[in-house]
Amino acid sequence: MGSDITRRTFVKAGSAAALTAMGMGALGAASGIPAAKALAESAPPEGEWVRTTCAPNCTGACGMKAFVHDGQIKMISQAADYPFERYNPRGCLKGISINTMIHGSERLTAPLVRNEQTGELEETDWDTALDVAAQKLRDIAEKYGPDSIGVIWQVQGTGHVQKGALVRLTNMMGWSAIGGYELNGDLPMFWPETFGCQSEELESYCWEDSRYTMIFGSNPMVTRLPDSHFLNYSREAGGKVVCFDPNYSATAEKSTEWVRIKPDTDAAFALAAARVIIDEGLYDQPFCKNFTDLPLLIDTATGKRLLARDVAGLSAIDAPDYRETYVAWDEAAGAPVAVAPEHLGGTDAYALEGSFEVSLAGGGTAAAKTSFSLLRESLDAYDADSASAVTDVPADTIRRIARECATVKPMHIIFGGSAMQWHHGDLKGRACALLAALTGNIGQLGGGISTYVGQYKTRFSTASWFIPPRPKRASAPFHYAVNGRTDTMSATFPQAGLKALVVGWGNPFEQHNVANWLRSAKESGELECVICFEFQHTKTVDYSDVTFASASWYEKTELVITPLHPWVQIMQPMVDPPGVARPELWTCKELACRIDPSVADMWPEFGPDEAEDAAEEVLRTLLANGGDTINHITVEDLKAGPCKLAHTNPGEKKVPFWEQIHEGQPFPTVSRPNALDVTAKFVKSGRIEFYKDEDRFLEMGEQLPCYKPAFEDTEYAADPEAREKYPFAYLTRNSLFRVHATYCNNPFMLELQNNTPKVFMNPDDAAAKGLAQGDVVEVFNSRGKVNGALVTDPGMYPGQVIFDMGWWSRYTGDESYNSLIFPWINPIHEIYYVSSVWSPNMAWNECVCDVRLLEAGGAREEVIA
Amino acid sequence: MRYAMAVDLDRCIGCRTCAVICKDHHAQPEGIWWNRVFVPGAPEYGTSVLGDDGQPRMEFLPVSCQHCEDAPCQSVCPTGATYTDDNGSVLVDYERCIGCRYCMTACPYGVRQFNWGHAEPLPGTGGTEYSYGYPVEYRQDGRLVYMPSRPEGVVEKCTFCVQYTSQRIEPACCAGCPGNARIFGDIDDPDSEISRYLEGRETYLLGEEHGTHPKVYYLKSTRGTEDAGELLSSYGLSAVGATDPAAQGTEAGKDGE
Amino acid sequence: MGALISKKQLCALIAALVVTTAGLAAWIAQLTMGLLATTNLSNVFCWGLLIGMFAFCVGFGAGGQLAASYIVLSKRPELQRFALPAQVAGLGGAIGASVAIIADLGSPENILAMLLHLNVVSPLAWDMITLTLFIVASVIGIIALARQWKSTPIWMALGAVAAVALQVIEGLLFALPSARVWWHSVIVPIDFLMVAVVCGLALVQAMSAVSARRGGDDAMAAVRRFGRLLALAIIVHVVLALAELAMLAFEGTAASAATLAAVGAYAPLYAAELGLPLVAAVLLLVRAGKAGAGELGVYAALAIIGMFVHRLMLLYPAFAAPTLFSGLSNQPSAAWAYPMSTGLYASSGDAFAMTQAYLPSPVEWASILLPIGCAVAVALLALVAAKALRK
Repeated sequence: MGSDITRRTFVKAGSAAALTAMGMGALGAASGIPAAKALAESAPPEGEWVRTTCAPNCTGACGMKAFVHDGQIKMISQAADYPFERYNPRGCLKGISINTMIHGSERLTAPLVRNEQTGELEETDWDTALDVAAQKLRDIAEKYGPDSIGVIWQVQGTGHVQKGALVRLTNMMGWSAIGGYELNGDLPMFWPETFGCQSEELESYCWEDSRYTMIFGSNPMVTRLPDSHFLNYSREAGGKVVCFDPNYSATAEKSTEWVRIKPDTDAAFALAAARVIIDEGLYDQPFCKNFTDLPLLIDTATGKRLLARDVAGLSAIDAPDYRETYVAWDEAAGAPVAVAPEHLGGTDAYALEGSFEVSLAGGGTAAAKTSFSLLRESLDAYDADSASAVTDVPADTIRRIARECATVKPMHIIFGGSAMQWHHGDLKGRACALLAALTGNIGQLGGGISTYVGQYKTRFSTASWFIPPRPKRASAPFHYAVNGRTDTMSATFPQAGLKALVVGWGNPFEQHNVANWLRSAKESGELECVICFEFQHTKTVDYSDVTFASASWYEKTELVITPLHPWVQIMQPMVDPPGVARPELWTCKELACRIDPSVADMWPEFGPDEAEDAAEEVLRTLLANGGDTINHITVEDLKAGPCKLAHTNPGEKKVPFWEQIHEGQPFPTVSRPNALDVTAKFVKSGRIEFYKDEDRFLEMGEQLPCYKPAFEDTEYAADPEAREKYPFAYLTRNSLFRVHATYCNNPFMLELQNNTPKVFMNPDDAAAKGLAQGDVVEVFNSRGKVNGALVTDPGMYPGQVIFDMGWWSRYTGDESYNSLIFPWINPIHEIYYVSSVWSPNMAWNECVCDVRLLEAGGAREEVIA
Repeated sequence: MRYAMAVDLDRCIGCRTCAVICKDHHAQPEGIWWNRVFVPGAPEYGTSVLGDDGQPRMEFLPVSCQHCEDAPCQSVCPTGATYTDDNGSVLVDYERCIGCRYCMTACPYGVRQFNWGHAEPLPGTGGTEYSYGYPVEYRQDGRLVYMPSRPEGVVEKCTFCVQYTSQRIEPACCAGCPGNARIFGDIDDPDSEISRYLEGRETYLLGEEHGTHPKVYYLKSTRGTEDAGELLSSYGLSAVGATDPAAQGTEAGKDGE
Repeated sequence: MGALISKKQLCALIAALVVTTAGLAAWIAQLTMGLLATTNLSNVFCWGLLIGMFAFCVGFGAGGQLAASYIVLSKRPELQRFALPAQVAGLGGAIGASVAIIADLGSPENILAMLLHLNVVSPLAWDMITLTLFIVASVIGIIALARQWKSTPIWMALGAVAAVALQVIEGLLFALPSARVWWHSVIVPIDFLMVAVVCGLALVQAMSAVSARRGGDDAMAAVRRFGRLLALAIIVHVVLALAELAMLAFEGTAASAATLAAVGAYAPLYAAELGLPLVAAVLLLVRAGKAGAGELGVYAALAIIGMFVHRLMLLYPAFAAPTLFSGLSNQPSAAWAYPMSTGLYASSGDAFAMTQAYLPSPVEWASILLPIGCAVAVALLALVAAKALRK
């Protein structure tokens, strides 16, 4: 080693030095340099490194260490202390520069209350703020019912104790939890439809184990930045990464192959590939027979699955109510057989294909075919040439990729938000899941299909804190606030509508302001009251009647567990919240007790100075009662560094659906915090389901995955003229420089963007509109508008206008980029309702627009590089 | 001993974390970036350029001081404020810099930056001011080569993190690269991480035509070098991968440590 | 003593001191308020009007010295009375250059480092040494001329050597570093010399034109002879400049293409740089026999203005063209320019740029009054001193 400096040296520094004042002297000795010499040249500055977890609404949950000097954070580095070496370092440009916001000018230092007379926000003391908020919320609850108070919070995984306190408060008061998963468009509906669960995914460090990765509608090099290197490692190990994207992205650049696909046609591609795989016999027959519904018999007259109890000689197998016993054809016996819904495996004898006459118990026969046969028939429409016409992908490419993905294992599909957040995004997901199942990759390390959007999935039991002793629980999808009630809805929604909003840390007046609904509802008085927890002055604060100035993730104790990666981590306070800002645990407790003094016994008793101790107690409770995945971890362990969640499969890395594929347990896996019986009915067969026989699936022709074009059932159905009036698809993509609307005011990020919001178009589209790079343009439709400096990108598929999501409207003339978007409801998503598991989902991309010139050449020089 | 840096363009995802951690740790004021990452030819992050084959590309190229063996900035500096230390790092002594900016005209890489004005702290919480960065000055043999608030009228640039490397800590951009695309170490030591990383691999240098002999080595991207028509089996892969989780901990994704 | 300085000279001196004071005020503004607030410079365009003035003054000074040396060494009697004014102009130019470069420093308080830690391989160090020696030679030359030393021709010869050295080294200052293709050329130091010759000849031309109005035919003949020399020098300069352009065009690199584009962007300035002196040269040749003294003086002025524009055009294409280009690392592509950080974000909102349109700020325009005022004042004082020495 000699005198070399290695990454390992630095990693040691990170963990060992956790972080005493620089603590580097010993390292000098370790690396062969006399410590004295190293130190003589640079005496360490006064101060200390403290580890915490970076947890804005992105679920990266990166371990960070910050250097605290004179009571302020001066520098941030990645902690780089994960025991799995290749995990390090973990942390991005935004987290590294959050100190500029933590100590920045837009921090809230005291609670704010709106002056009823002047309408202005005024700083006040905690008693006043809490009393005003309590009074308003109590009045609204009495007048309209407590469920008319909607609550929006950020991903719970990013903070179980403090953010969890608001969840606890909500469940105590009977307020309506607005499922953030569907509100954000993060709910991948194909998961409950196909697998019965909210979602399961490979942890990112399994990406390096994949030898064939297909990425649909995802840009992990930006949106999963700290994890993305595992895709590069997969390539370095000889694997192939294929990126399907209409636009050339950073991920396309880092892939082995970029497939330029027409927007929103991924389903047609996947189904054509499935057809090639089936036609060429490349599919995994045993997997299909044992783990999917493809051998189940469908009554061709009704389109419904045959039930064992309806078939002569068969009866339902004893199973919980949420199960149903279906029928397959036993090739060995030449007879129908009841399919056990509670055990998977050992069913290789089931016929995968064929038409059968099945005698019914009530007399007569039914003509039946296997789901697989019906699938093959439906795939007739998806020959490679037809799919090529739809997708703009050459037929030969479709065939080649089909063969590759069927033969190279493990094969993994990353199914991203941009593929999913369309009206028929679930059909695409089902089609891609079909590829993962046909090729037998599910349940394998480095194989299967994953969705990395939102990441609301909870991996341990949070009930000990989230659910109070006498819970009053309600939930409501935000969609109905904008759409009104629908005939097809099964969700709960307050009778009086949403009359108040309690916002935990999100910035919905920027980020969820679909069709300008939130702003206009508050301005019209329909939304009577907004209460918000924030640490910076956002647009939502401007619209709030009371704002509770809160602590950032460098100022409080918090438990962070997000599903993409397996480490349990804590936040540790290292600087004081500014002014009189306080951690949310204290604020929620106080608010609860002032609304209803009778709930005081459900909260720990502590003063504002004891908030950290109280948070640590909650943390202990959560760990001890969290179940098998977490109860081996103690607070002391967490103070020493990240600890790993437990999983059941052998080996270091968790394998999704291990129990199903290797131990015979039925689908689905549990979707916490719901009990299994709440969601198991989504896949009554206990198998991976590609054929859905609920009536609405049949009515809409979606019993099997299929391709449905964009906008036909939404924009064009609502306004046939939109087809001509708004020729462009409007895409609000994630930016490297923000996490949704967070970090928008980070001075470093603003510099990196020359302080200018941009509109991106294909150069030919721009030329056809008479626009040129550097023009200031307005993007608009019948609902709203936004403006930006035009940038042309030859890598963009024509017919789209892209605006980078998250720009605060103060940078765009107070116009919100979300004002153009509408929360369409797909009736399929209303068949069941389980908040954040089966629910209407935001289809951000299902939006059309046009663009016009505001000011020729009005953009800054630098935009025209 | 000569410090050097390798930048693996095949790993770089263009995230600019290196630029930001550099700015944060070195108290670079507004408008000053010692470390930049752009896609040459692309007007903006997330946009692409067309190669000669008409296909889009988005090759990210981080550029900071190349710490040239024959540094033109050093030879033109009339006062010797710019000098090369014993480790091969090119440094600026703020107490000797007269602010003539000759070095800026002589550097082909555009990495040298001038303090045109007094570096203002950021607006802080509650009407205060906020300063960030390594909070104390660092002197090498008495020469002032880092200070948190540089004087007006001097030139500054990347120091290979002299305040860290002197403590045997690698530079912030290398430690902080989420893609592990930056490797640092002693290029004269065949056992160093950088020497081992570069062994047998083709590198190229920026601005070689200037005869500067940079100590920042670039590894080329592999994008597009594999024929998309090839079946994976021809990559020497078995058709069946690591399906046995008991056999986990494969050799996948060695990061060249 | 009253005879030592004429009324006109006194007025000129006062005017020069006023100008100097105005320039001094601008410089103090730059020092106290900062260059960010007072100039339009950036990391992209990091040398501005003061450096242009510096380069012009050096050329002008060297030209004055060359003219003085030529007059003395050529021994043409009708020219001898111009030797001292030319010599004095040489000193003025050198002083103006020194003042300009010091005024341009960002940290003049560290100037002592130039003495304590001079880096002898820096062309700027050579330039400063040569400039100092040139000033010494210039002063000695003035004394020699005033006292009419026998050794005057030797000092004049040494002065000429110093002038040539100064101009060549000044050219090397720009030409040696390879970063800017606009400068990195063997032609640059040669052309710098030519520029000095043009300046010197134009200076003598102008001076003799002025005095010829009072003089007789002899004087006019001398002026005309100078005019032809000046025309020749201008033509050589223009040929060198065009040769430079042709070489650039044939270089075929991304950097040369960008530089050519920058020349194109500043085409009016470039046209003025070449056109004004060229017009003067042609007219000098065509109208050599007919032109009156005033007309010839105008041609000389055109040539000098052209040389000043030339100094500005030294800067524009150099800084308006990026220096770092890169194509794709592993496949054929164009080579694209790479942006740099401007240093200006706080004031302009632009953190990164590849080029910058530079228009000197009012303070910058005012700041060049400092070297101009100093040059004129020193020249006047030198004339007075010479007069005193003569007595």
